[in-house]
Amino acid sequence: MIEPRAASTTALSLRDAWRDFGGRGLAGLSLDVPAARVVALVGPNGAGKSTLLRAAAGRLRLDRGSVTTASGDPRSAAEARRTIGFVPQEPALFGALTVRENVEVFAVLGGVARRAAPAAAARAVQRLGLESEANRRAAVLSGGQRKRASLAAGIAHAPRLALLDEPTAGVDPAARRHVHAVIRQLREDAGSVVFSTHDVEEAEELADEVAILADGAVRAYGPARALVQGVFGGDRELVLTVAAPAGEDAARGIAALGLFATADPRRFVGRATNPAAAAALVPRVEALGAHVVETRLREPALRGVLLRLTGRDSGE
Amino acid sequence: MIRAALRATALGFLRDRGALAMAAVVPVAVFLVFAAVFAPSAERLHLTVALADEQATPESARLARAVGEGSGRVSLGLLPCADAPCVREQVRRGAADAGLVIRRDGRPLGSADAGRPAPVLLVRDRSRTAAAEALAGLVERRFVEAMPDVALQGVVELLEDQFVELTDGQRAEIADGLAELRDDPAGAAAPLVATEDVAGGVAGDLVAYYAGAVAVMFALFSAAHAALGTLEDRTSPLLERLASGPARLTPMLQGQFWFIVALGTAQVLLMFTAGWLVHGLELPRLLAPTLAVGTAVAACAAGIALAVTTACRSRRQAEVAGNVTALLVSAVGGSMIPRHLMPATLQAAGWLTPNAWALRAFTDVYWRGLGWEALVVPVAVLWGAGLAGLALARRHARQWELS
Repeated sequence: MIEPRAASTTALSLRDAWRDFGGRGLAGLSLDVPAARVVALVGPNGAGKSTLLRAAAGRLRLDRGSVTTASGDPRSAAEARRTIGFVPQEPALFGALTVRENVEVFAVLGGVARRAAPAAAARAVQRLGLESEANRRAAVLSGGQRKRASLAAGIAHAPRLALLDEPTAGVDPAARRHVHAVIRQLREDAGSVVFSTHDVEEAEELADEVAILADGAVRAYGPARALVQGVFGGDRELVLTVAAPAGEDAARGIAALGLFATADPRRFVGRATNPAAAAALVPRVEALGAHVVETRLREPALRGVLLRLTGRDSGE
Repeated sequence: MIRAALRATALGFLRDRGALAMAAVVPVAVFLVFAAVFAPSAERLHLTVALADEQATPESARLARAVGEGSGRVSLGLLPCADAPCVREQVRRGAADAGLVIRRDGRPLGSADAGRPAPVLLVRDRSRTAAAEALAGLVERRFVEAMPDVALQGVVELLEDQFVELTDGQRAEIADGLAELRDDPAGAAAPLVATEDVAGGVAGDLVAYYAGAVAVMFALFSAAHAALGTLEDRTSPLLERLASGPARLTPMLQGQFWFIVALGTAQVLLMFTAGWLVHGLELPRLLAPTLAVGTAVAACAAGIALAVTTACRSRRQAEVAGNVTALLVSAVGGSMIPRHLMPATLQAAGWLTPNAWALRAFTDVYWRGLGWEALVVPVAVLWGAGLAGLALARRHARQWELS
């Protein structure tokens, strides 16, 4: 397993964090987020991504363990929370207020002086490409617009640590580009960003480091390429497709061959050193009653790492 | 931060036309209905009475007529009946508040014959005891006022039977005197009780009481509704964001507190303005004390509502708890029926409600004409309770901030 590494300048540190929500939650999670870095949290549903972000925002009592930012424990220190911009998964806005008013209110609640709030709000609105929606009430915006407005409200006070829970879920490609640009800009401004996503490719593209979570703990942490190298070594990723969704027994048998089920019930992935090794697997899969229609070798990617480390797809 | 939170709450409210109408129109409408229904009844009582004159004598006819005329603050509508069963049926069905039977088998009116039943039977429905009591008093009073000759005839009979034997001459003189009294009953009127009003000279009627009563009740309801504000449930996105801010929920709570104070004060002013325009309350002259009490009432309502709301674990719980609290407090505090009509323990418990203190303050100003010194204690109590409620809400809010 690849262990989380300690950083010299740490923006966020969770140490042996435990919080039980009836079998889910955090189970001894440790993670250090370096300053001025973008960290993506990936993992299947229920892995603990949102819980981690809530804990980092100072919203959770931990059964055990600690959470600290560069400015202290966000559970008890107002100054630590002042440096955080937490954007929940669902848009968090006052429906009766316009986008501009919402962003201004949250800028002030985040610690921006009242006189400086309009300018801070205007900057955040512009960054998210919401100028034309600025004077519309949040309640009448589309889902994607609300999501961007919520993000604008979360960054208007220029946080040192942005905690974004699935910031691109449910937004169109153009809006996604705005969100990605904002995340990059936050890093350029020496801020750190921790965001969760089900889109593994997005994590690969955007994050300096990726934390793979499962069952409330970090299974692997590091740059995406390093994680791939650590899991696949010199091997390539094998994608094996069967004609029809495999039955329960067949799926178990296929898993025993080192192949992992994906979100697509007809598709399995594993590792193989060369085409011959991949071909050798076909008769063994067909012996389990599944008709193989395709085997393909490709460059290994983060999704394969996720599958191998958690046994489950990202739930995208 | 508090200003930003106050602005967010206020804008949200002002842009919700439904909420705005509910806060402005409904309380005034309820007040006007309350005032129309209850204020006149405190001044004058109207009873519907089923009446049967079974004796059918000149005296019984005089009594029926005298009772039907009412007296003082009691007026009557009569339902004529032929006999006692008819009277009982009218009262039993609720068509009449109470019934009177001048009984066939009763002793004649003015007779002192203790061996025969009372001449008048009062038929009552126990759910309308107050009506029956008022009617009984009215019958006794009207008998003495309108039929002094008959009443005195009974006294004369009693004197002669128990104490002294009159001569024929004396009897003739008494008969002449009684005949004069029958022709001019007012000449015998020598009331035992005189009445003097010492309050109520300021505003002129009891409308001020109902303006205050309804204002406090709606201040509590509005406060309960406004306090819900951002509390959806513990994981609602808005709450997540607010609670993760540097000051957590404190700015929102304080912003909501001051918003509710402003809203409640406006509602009280609106209510008294309606009372001024429709019923002639002296609001312009008493504006300053009205504002002082109104603001204190709103502060108390805000504190209570926020304390109750934040003690709950979900918005649904908070909605129910807020409304139930407003109802209970209003009932015990005298917003629905005056506290002097309640049992002693409830009257005492009323001092634990803002309604009782507010009504005391409003009636002191509008009804009793007392000065500012009378407002010091109620206003201090109301503000104290409001600020204590806010402090309690801040304490309760921790459960929402760190889950």
